[in-house]
Parts: sequence; C-alpha cells; structure tokens
Amino acid sequence: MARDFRRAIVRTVSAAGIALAALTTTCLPQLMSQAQAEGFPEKPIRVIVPFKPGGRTDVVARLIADKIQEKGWLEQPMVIVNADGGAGANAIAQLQRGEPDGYTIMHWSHEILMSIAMNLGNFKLEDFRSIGLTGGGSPLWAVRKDAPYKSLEEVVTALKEKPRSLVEAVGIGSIPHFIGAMLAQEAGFETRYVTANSNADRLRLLLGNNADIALFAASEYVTQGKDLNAIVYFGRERSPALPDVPTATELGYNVVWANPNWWLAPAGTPDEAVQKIAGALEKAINDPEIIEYFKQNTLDPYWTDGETAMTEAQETLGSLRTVAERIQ
Amino acid sequence: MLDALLVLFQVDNLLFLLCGTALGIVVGAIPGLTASMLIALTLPLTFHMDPVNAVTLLIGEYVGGISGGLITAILLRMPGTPSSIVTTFDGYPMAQQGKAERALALGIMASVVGGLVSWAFLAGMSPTLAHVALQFGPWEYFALVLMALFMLAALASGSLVKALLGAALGMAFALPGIDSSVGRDRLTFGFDSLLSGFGLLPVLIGAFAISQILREAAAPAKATGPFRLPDRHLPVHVSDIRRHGPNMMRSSVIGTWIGLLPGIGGNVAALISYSIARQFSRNPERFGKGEEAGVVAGETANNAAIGGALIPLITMGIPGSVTEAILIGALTIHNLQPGPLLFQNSPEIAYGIIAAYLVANILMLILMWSTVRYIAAIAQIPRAGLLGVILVFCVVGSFAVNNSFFDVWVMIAFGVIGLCLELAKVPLGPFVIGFVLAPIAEEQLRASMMMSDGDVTAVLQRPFALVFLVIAFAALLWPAVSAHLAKRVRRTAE
Amino acid sequence: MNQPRKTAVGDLLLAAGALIGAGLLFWGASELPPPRFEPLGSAALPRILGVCITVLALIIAAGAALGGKRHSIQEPDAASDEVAAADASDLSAARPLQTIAVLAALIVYVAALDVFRVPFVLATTILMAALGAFLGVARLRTAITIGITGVLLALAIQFVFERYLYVTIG
Repeated sequence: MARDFRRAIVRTVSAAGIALAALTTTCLPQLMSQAQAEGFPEKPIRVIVPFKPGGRTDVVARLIADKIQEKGWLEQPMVIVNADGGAGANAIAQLQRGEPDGYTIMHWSHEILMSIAMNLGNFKLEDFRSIGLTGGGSPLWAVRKDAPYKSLEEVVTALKEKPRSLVEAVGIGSIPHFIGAMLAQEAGFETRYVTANSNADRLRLLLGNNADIALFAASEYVTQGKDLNAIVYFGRERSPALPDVPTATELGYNVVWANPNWWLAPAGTPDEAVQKIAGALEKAINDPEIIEYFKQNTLDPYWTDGETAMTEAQETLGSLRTVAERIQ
Repeated sequence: MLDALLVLFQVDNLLFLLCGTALGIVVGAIPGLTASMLIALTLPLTFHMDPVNAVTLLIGEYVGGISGGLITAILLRMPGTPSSIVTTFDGYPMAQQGKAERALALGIMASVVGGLVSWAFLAGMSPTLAHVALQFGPWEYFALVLMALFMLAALASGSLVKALLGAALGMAFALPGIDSSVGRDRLTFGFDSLLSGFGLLPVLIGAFAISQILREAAAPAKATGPFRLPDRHLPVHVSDIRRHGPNMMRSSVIGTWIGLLPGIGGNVAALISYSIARQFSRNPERFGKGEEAGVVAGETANNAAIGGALIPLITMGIPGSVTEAILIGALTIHNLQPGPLLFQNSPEIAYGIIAAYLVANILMLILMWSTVRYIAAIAQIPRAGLLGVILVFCVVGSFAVNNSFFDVWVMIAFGVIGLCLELAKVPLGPFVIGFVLAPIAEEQLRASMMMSDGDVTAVLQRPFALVFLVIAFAALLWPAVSAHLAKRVRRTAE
Repeated sequence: MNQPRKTAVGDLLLAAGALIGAGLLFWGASELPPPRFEPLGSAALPRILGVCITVLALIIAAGAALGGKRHSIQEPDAASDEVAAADASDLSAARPLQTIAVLAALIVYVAALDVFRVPFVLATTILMAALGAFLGVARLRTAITIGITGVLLALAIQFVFERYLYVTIG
C-alpha cells in the first residue's frame, strides 16, 4: 500500500507539471492585458441580485444593464450575478468578498431594510454606500371579486364588528406582513394570518377561498387579478394603470410603501466609481424604452441620488423597527 | 392549438426545442447539474430572443433535464436530478444484475408515457384541474404530505428502527435556516450562511453522488474489459405495456396531480407514486432490490409532474416550483405575464407552451432511444476519469446554484454523512424523504393552525384533507392488520 | 474483527452521533422564542425530533450492547435486504485509504478555490491528475491522459460559464 502511494504521488506531480506548463502559456496574455487599462471601469462590473433570476429585482437590473451596454454609457458591461439565499446574507457575503472598488455592486430593494429590522443576517446600513434609486413600485391589497365587501371601508367595518374574522395571507416577517400590520394599527382592526411566502402562494390561497385578503404588486394584479378586486393602493399617489383604486392616504390611513430599485456598493467604494455608475443609471432610467417598460408594469420610473436614497432608507428603517418590535 | 403546432414546426422553433431537449438530457444526466440550474443559467440568453423561441428552448431544457436524470441514477446510483432519487432505489440494483439496458429502456418509456398523459391533461382540461387544485389549502397540503410520509415509512427495508432514525435525522437537517412560518432564524447557531438552511441540491448531490464516489473509490480497480456496445435491440417488448400499463397510468395521474399543486415538485411526485406502486404491488418485498415497477413508477411520475406544473402556470400564472418561477421570469422580460389573460392577449405563447411540451417529449424519446446504447456504455469508461469528471461537475454545480462556496462545503459534508449512514446500515431513502417532506408538512400544519386560530377540529370541515388523513393512517396500520388477517386465515384453514 | 462485532461497534457510533445531533436540537430549540402566531411555534418540531432521535438511538445502542446473539439471527435478513449497503461496507474495508485520499483531495480542491482563490483551471487539473493517480491503473500514461482531460474539461467549463452564463467560479 505504501509503495502504491509513493508511486501515486510521483505520478501526480509529473502529470501536474505537464498541465502547468500548458497553463502558463494560456494564462500569461490575460495577466498582461489587465495591467494596461486606466480609469473606471476597466473591467466588467458585477451586479449582485439577491434572488434567483426572473423576479422584479432581477429583471429591472438586467434591463438597465442591457440599456447601459447598448448605449455605451459605461466602457464595460454590467454583468448580473444571482446570489439567492439567507435573506440576502449570501449576496452580501459576495459583495464584501473583494475590495470595495466599485466592480462589485448590488441591486436590491427596501427588503434589505426588512432583513435589518428583523435582525436577520449580520449587516447594517452603514456597511453600504448608496448609489441611487431607479424607480420603484407600490403594492395593493386585493380581495376576491365575489366577496361581500367591495372596499377597504367595508373590510374595516366587517373586521371591527367581528374581530379576527378574516384571514390575511402573509409571510410572517415579510413586507406584506409589515404593511398589513401598519394598516391594521392605523385603522384599528385585527386579522388572522395564514403563511404565504410568495406572490404565487398568496394568489393561490386567495383564489382558493383559503384567505380573504392578500397583498400583491400592482403589476401582478394587472395581469393575474381577473377574479380579484383591488381595495387599496399603498403608493403616494394613485397609479396611472389603476386609476380607480384609492390610496391608503386618501382613505385617511397614513400607510405608504414605495419599494424602490436600490443600487448599493460596499462602504468605502471610491467617489469616482460611484458617480460614474450613478451617471449611467440616471441616463438609463430616463431612456424612453425603459420608461415604457416601467409604465406597462405599473412601476414608476424616477431617479433619486444616492444620499437622498440613504436618508429615506434610514427614515423607513426607523418606522419598520417600531413595527418589528410590535409584531414580534 | 393547431396553429401553435404549425408555428412550432418552423425551423427555428424546432431547432431551439431540439437544442433545449438535447442540452437538458446531457445536463440532467450529469450529477450536480440540474434542469432548474440549466434554465436559470440560460435564461439571460433568452432575453434577446423571440419569445416563442425562448419558450421552446426553456421547455425543451425542462423536459430533457428531468428525463436525463434517470441515466446516471440507473448506471451509477447518482441521481442526475432530484426528481430521479427513487430511480436509484431499483434502477441501480437492476444495472448491477446486468439489466442496465432494460432499466434504461423502461425508464425512457415510462418518462414518455408520463409526459404524454400529463400533456393530455394539460391540453384537455387545464382550467377545470386548475380550479380543483386551487381548493387545496394548508390542511390539504399537510394531510397529503403526511400521507406520503406514512406511506414511505412502509418502504423501510431492513431494520425499521434504523429507517426511522434515518428519516428523523433527515428531518432534523431540514430545520436550520429561516423558519418560513415566522420569518425568524432557527438552529443556525449564529452562522449567517445557514440562514437559507442546507440547500436541497447540495444535500442530494452530497448524500447520493459524493458518497457514491467515495464508496466507488474504495472498490478495487476493476479490470476493464474490451469496450462493448450493447445490442441494437433493446430489451422491451409489447408485453411490457400490459405488465406496466396500469402502473404507468396510475403514476401519470399521480404525477400530474402532484405537479399541479404549487410548491410540491417532481421529486415528491416520484416518491409518492413509488410508494403507491409498492402498496399495489403483488411482491412489495422486491422493491429496492431491482423491481421494474419501481423504476417505471418514479420515472413516469416525475415527467408527468412537469405537465401538471405547467397547468397552474399558464392558466393562472402560479409557478409550481423554482423552475416555473424562472419560466415566468422569461416571459415577463418579454412583457408577457402568464395568467388568465395570456390565452386572450398572446395565444401563440399560451398554446406554444402546450405544443412545445408535446413535441419536447417526442424529441426526448427519439434522442434518448437512439442513443441509449451509447449511454449505457458510460458505465465502461475508466473509473478514475469518470469519477473525477463527475466530482468536478458536482463542485461546479453546487457552486453555480447560488454562486456560493458554502453550498459546496455542505455538499461535501453530506457526502461524508451519507457514507457514514450507509456504513451504519441506515438507508438513505428515508433520510432524503424526511429532508424533503418534513419542511412542507411543518409549514402547512402551522399555517393551518394559524388560519384556524389553533383549532385542530377545523380539519373536520375539509373533506379532501380528511380522506388523505384516513389513507395515511390506514397505510401506517396496514402491515399490522394484514399480518393479523393472514394469521386468522391460516387458523381457519387449519 | 468478525462481522457481528463490527456491526455492533458501528451501531454504537451511530447511536452516539445521533445523540449528539439530538442534543444540538434541544440546545437550539431552547433559544427559540415562544409561539406567537400559532400554538406550535418554531421549537415544537426540533423538540419532537430530538425526542424521537434520542429514543431510536437508545434502542439501537441497547441492541448493540446486548450484542451478538440477536444480531446473528437478524443479520442475514438485514444483509440480504440492503445489498448495496452491505457491499459498500465490504468495499470500504477493502481500500479505505483510497476513500480518504479522494475525500482529502476534494477538500483541498474546494479550499484552494474558496479560500486561496486558486484559478479554476489550475486547481481542476491538479485534482484530476491526483484522482487519476489515486484510482487509476498503475500506469503513468493513464495519469497523464486524465490530467489532460482535466485541463480540457476545466477550460470548457470555464469558457461556457464565464462567456455565456456569466458565472465566475472562485
């Protein structure tokens, strides 16, 4: 056995040696080319999306990255990297893996504030540098079309007459839960819950008569809500695509949730890189094609610069923390 | 519908479908790479394609990927994709008994039948089925999964205590991570990487592929004989239709139905129809030792589950699994949302999906049937090279799911755990089943209790759930009852 | 060591491992908050499983400690039931060193990629060559062939993943 092993090692070393020789010839030119370029960006920028591909955060990132590449607003392409898992912990680990040089950034939403408010994952807002917001969208509350109540007022009255008589489909500790809790606090009612951790679950439970109220993104409602009835919209103003759905503020409840598309870099990323990326993003969000896509999908196209976005986020985080304390 | 089929026969669509199916089979067959990963990774490529092309490519990958998994499951005891776990139970023993080609042929046949039957459901009665599936709430999900768990308890061969321990350990490994019922971390012991728990893919690749590689490494080097291609004629006959027909039909229906329920996928479909096939079998003791019906049941159901899962996808826009969620993503980027309006607004896509599913199944049959002889020869590749290549794919695959090395370490750890369990004679089947099913059962039970305000008797108002629960307990008690009955029959005979 | 003895030792180790796992479950469960939205709460399933695992492990340990007699009756049955598992344990007995070598190679490979950021192609080539040497037939040519397969495989994977799928390995 021992001799076998010694021979094995000799064989390994010799085979590896041959392979190495082959490798140096292929790798050297790459190393040379990296030393030459100057000015940001010199190589592709990795954009980390903390979800599997296909969701809103992912699609928006890809559209914008495509547009920037098409128009040449950055010298190098932006490459989307999907890192799902761990309430964003995996994505943030990826973000912080290299130097904060602007070549690895992240595209997320205010869900990051949820993770922070719920103390999931070991990160805080100070770990990030905000690049800016490229628009966003608001959700709405929907009930079944054949339900006896047709408006938020009727739902509130029903719940006040018989507390906990209606079932709300939410993922406990997720955005739908928080928004529902804020509204419930404002209006002074209480619902029962049923676990629904995705839009698909909420739709399935609501349509199947296993839940009475659920939260949807406005775009989901537009395409899938044939048998649903939207009763309240949580945007600042009414959505142009849904002119008949009142906002919560109009109805007298101070609940607003505008979930933005937020671009983040690790803290310590140099100004030059942040400004360059922000410039490209701002151009992209003002591009007619992107505006058209946003409007069709009930998203609002707008640009908010990094610092304003960070201030807004801090305010929102404050109010989320109060809700988190109450519901835990 | 006919129009859609005609559109599909345009050269480019057919070509994309063929590429997708072929790619799917290859990727599905490689342990470590799965259909959903392939679809996730190729999704960005489809953004610049025509939507019909994109859909045909992805559907082809889906069908091919689920079907390809049977190859390595049978030949190497490494399920190429999670849906093929049960195929290893009987497929590999068959291969060891020298019936590899027959196992492959049966598996391919079963896959196609499952695909075609579920296509019939998809094309014929989507709206009705979707409507019924919607009535399933948390209680029904819980009862159904409990039924599956109890039925599978009967699968335990060898020591019952060890099988139960295996199942309990599997369930325990599913616990760490964010508790989906309350959105809080549990049993993560302070490790952020554990927040999403142990991923299904790393655990399965570890427990099956890595542990098998480690075991194979210990096997004395076989003298590889001269390279031999199996016979041209595959060992399946017309009589097989009679022998396996009822099983295939039953498994197709089960597979379609399970696929129809969002959140429960092909792997569960295969597990359930496998255990039901065993309940119906006249010689259940042969399951796990190379019983043909086992291969047929699993492979029929996992393919049927695809057709089932496409039903809520195209009628309501509800994805049944991660794979379907990604398909929806592919459509949204082209500004198409699956849902009730899809048939009105863009019928070419809605019917295109249905037609593509049919053609993908047929292409899969042609591709796999014509190459099965060469596929079977994989087992003859020199072991050192084959194991190395698979090992590299396992590492790359586990990494690529979420771009995370943590998953790779999890995979290695479960490889060692799997090997230790097998050495201690704890069967891996119950372990994996516990791991897959326990989280669904727990979440749904807790959702039910939440919904009913803690009132367990609420289940009495749910007829479907009650039926499942009765079957579940019947399955649990059946071995004891049948033994008792047999005794009485013997006594009266005497 | 004869077969029943070996099984008994294996069973005791299994029981010990399971008990440690059960301990972890109880420890983890004790730190969870009480139920909030439903009566079961997060800690229920860990506790139930902890109890189940403890009981099952104790049964197995007791069976192993009480020893040989009952095993000699059960053994043929269990062995015939799990052909694959049984033959696996025989095989490992044959060349356990190879298993350990392959495992070590795998760990070093992943550590090289993850911690030391060794380029993928280089690490893969060395891994393949090493595996070839551990497992291959006793010929230099085989090892080289496999090493070259490694380079080609690694280059192919890297090309496809980086060029088309935008995944950088490592």
